[in-house]
Amino acid sequence: MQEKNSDLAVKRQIEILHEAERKNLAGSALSGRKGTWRDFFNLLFKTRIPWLYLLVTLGVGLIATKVGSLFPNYQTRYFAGELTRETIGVGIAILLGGLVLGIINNVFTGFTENTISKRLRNTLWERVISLPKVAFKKLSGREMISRITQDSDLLAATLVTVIITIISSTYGVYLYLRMIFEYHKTLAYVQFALVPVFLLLKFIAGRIQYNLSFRSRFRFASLTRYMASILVNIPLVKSYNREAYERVRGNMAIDEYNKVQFKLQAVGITFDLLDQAFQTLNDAICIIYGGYLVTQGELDIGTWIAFYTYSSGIYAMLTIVCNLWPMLKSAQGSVQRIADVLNIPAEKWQTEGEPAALGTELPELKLSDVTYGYNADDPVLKNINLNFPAGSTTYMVGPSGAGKTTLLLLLDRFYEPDSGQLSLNEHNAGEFGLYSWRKRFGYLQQEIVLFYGTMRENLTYGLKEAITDEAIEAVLAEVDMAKKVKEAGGLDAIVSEGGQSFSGGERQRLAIARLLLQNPQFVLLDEPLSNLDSRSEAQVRKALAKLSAGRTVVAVSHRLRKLNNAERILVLDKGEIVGLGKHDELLSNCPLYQELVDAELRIEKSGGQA
Amino acid sequence: MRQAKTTEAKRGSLKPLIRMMREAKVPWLAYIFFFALNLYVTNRGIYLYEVAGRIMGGEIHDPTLVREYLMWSLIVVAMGFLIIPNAWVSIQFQRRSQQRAWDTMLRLPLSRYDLMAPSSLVSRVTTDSAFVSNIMTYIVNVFQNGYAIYLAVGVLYRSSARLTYYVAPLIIISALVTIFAGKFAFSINYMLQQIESRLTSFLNERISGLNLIKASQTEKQEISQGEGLTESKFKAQMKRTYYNASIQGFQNFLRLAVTAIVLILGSYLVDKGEMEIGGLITFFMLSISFPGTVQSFFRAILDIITIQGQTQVVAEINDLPRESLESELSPEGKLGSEKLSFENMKFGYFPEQEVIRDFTEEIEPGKLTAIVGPSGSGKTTMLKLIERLYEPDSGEFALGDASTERYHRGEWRSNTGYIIQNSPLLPGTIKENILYGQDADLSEAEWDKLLEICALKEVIDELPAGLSTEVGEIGDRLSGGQRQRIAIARALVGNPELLLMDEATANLDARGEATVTENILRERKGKTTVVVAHRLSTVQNADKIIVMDEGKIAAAGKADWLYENSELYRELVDLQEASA
Repeated sequence: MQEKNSDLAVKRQIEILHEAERKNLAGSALSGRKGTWRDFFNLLFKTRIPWLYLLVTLGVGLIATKVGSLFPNYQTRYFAGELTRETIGVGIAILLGGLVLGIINNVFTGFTENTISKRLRNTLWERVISLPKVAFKKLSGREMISRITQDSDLLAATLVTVIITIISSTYGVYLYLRMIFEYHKTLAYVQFALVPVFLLLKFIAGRIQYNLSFRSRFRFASLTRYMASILVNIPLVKSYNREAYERVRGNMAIDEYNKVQFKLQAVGITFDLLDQAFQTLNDAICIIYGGYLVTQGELDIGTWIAFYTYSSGIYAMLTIVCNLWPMLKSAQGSVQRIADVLNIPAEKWQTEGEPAALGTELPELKLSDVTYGYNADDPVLKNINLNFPAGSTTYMVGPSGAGKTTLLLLLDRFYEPDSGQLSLNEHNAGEFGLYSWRKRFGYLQQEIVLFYGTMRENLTYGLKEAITDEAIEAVLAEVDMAKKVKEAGGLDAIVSEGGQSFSGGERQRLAIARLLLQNPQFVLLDEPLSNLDSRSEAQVRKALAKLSAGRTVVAVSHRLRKLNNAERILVLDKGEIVGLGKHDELLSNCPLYQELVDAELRIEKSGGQA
Repeated sequence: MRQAKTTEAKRGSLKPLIRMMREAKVPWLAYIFFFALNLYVTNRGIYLYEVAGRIMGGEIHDPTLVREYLMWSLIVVAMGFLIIPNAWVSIQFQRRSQQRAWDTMLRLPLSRYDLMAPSSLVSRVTTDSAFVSNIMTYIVNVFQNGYAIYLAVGVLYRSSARLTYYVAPLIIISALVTIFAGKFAFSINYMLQQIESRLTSFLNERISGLNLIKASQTEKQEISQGEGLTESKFKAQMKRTYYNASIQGFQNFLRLAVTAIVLILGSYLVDKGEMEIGGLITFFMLSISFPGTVQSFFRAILDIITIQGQTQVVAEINDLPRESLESELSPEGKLGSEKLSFENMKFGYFPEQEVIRDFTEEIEPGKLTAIVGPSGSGKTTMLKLIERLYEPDSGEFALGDASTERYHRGEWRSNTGYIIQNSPLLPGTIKENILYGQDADLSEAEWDKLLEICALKEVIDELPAGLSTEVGEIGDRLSGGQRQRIAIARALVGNPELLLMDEATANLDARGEATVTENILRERKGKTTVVVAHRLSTVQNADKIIVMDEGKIAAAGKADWLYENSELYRELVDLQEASA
């Protein structure tokens, strides 16, 4: 009997989870390798690490440790009856000094850590926003964000708290060890014969716990990702009656996560007990052997008390150091993930500069033998030779996947050609800074983006100079949106949820108003009329006519039916130009164009009937 | 762990918590048994301090005492393993709560689902339930620490009442500081959480809109805005740093002060003969750990109060409505052969809203019916109602002569194919996506036929992994048109009796649309199909066209008749022709 799809799917899901877990444990998803010390130092130099703060924090930490180590000595004196003004005074001074130093230490540590986290985030954000579009093929936006938010905090915490604590605790261990060896050598030796064993056990524990904690976080992330993908698509799940199926899958993911969680906790408890066992052993030796020494007169009670305090302190600090070591290991992952992003070369979006000879008139845009592909061996555009005369309107058509949108974005230099040139009036794109080039282009996306903010902010988005409200109103009137905007609260109203309160056509017209204000020389339109009902379509058409006047327009078009009067039609297929001309010419000399027009007629002829 | 939002929970109300525990079937017996054992271990742990003191006080020569000390030391440590069963109970609580919450989310009626942000739903399942389950551990902590404090005070008092009195005020201050610290920590952490989520939504929004940013050349201002948000996070973090540093420093100071007083005063009292050396040793050793125990006790109490205050929100999840999928009649066999009728149907997504105002019509079996009209007229909503994703607010909706309510909702949906314009695909392979609603695989012949109909054969053949290609977030080479065709295949694979299409082919290129539409209509000849279309030309040959306007039916009939008799229809047709 064939296994049910649901059981197969669940089995496969578990396999995929374990496989991915193994791979990620071995190295990062992107570069497949683990972060190294070299990456770590490279990172330190690229980000403005506040070295001075770090050193001062470390210094304060060390001084605090030193001061803290003085007190048990004074304890002994009190016990021996040395209760003079001087000893009590010094004792209180040590206590207060320790208090103040402790607070300063914590504040400095916190400040340095928070500063490093802040700088890492800012560095990453600046880089991410400057990444070329093609970088997002390898790394999703969501992953970029988690590097900015989570990895920066982790790395900052590791750099400061972990490393500084490890250094001060180690120093503390050294100080305390010195003290107890001064008190009674034999007792000290006996007690600390166990330290190497302790360290070895902590090392093994550290590795096991790191492994488990990594798997726990990984499974939690998988669980969250799975649930997010389903919860966002509940209507889909319901229309296929798959609630029961998803319940099984979700329960499985929950089980897998909790299994590891329990292992993690059980192992954690076990290793905590190991710590306790060592402490107890330490105490037992201290008490039994120490007690014996006291009755023999080799040690006085006061010194024993100090000895006991110091030796408990040593194990406490050793435990801290050993428990922090796994954090260093996790940071390895963060280092590597952050380094991956910073190693991607950024776009130089700030560079200005253009050939002086260009002048202010509309230039001719030309592509000479342009080839481009996301991967070198799989070009999306091949040997494109094309010109756009000043003021012309060119419609790009072709089957889906032909490369139309890629070409459009290439014109705005979102992609750089692998070979060939773009030029304006024979001046190569290379002579233009990215900033100066893009200033000349206006891009109307298919999905209009309106950020959270006021209507005014959205309409003036990208403007380099200030502009009056009258100018904004004028442009709104041109696209027939003046009334609607007023009804929605005017220019000061907050646009929320990406403008969902406006219809698709209205959002289009707002975006067109935005472009009118920017006044570009070239207008790039990506299927502006798709997804609109006929009334909206008519309105957007009118607005587009206003936008096209006096500018060079390149438009990706979905429907050919409306192109009989088009000035210029470009037909793309599989990355190559297979036709260029007017509607009637193409009907006779471009077979693909013919096919496409025929297809549209077929759709209407069938109109619901085969 | 993220903390759930606070609501006005009734203080001291344990009801929601108890309910959650009952529903999660917490293994009480095991929990109580190990709980009792833990308390016994605590008892022996305190006893050890007394023994240690006596040994140091000079009774080192008593071998029984030394043996007792060693034995109990070992036992106390070994019994530490008893925490593991407690952890297991806690995990079971967490697991079951998460699974219950997951089930609730899946069974939410859409009318309720629409009111919630899907992104918040995930954390309600994953972290909120886990948060509450921690309470099992905190309860143990409270009782263990509380009992330890009780025993320790007894031991301290027996060693020296006077010293205890002197030390008590410091301990009390430490406890008070712990309580206040806990309360402030909560609000500071909440504030940090708010800032972090604002920062994350800013980042999300900007990264989705990166194209706009590049095209508008606003990188600089977006960078500054991001830096501004990071700066406010920094400021909040510094607040927390100052706060934590002061609290911690103070607590450390108190601890050391206690030790100092014990030793100074203690040695004075021993000199005076008012205290035994052994007693002082015991007192001293206890005083090192005592303040910590007090702090843990109060922190555990605070944690429980915090959790309990938020249990209300978390437990609310169990009060959410569930859609019932079962009913008396099975729609199988009837969906494709009986008439769908509507009478005075009204519906709105929210109360006080009317998207469908008064729908009275019939959809004939075996025929192609089209629904057209201006945007906002309710066309898409009608399809959702026919798919029974929502229930009408009032009026009649029947299949044959039985009201739809009497039909099994789950089966209704699985026997109805429903395709929307940009159908989402789930993570997985192409094959898994197409077979989403199915329990069994197809034969090769059936696959070939399906892929032909949906114009997918060439696409699949060109992919190196074919049907096993992953449809993923990154690096998937499928275009929007190809993804839509996969969604279409998904709907058609089960040969649904009733097919609903909402501009299903509108995003395909012309050739794709023509081929797929022709194929579907040919396959569906004689089967019931309802189509929503913007472009009237694509449905002009339908058996019946229903023209909707603002939630009501403006007219219905065949295309020619409508052109003559419906002003709205004529207007829409003319508009579309005009733009050509």
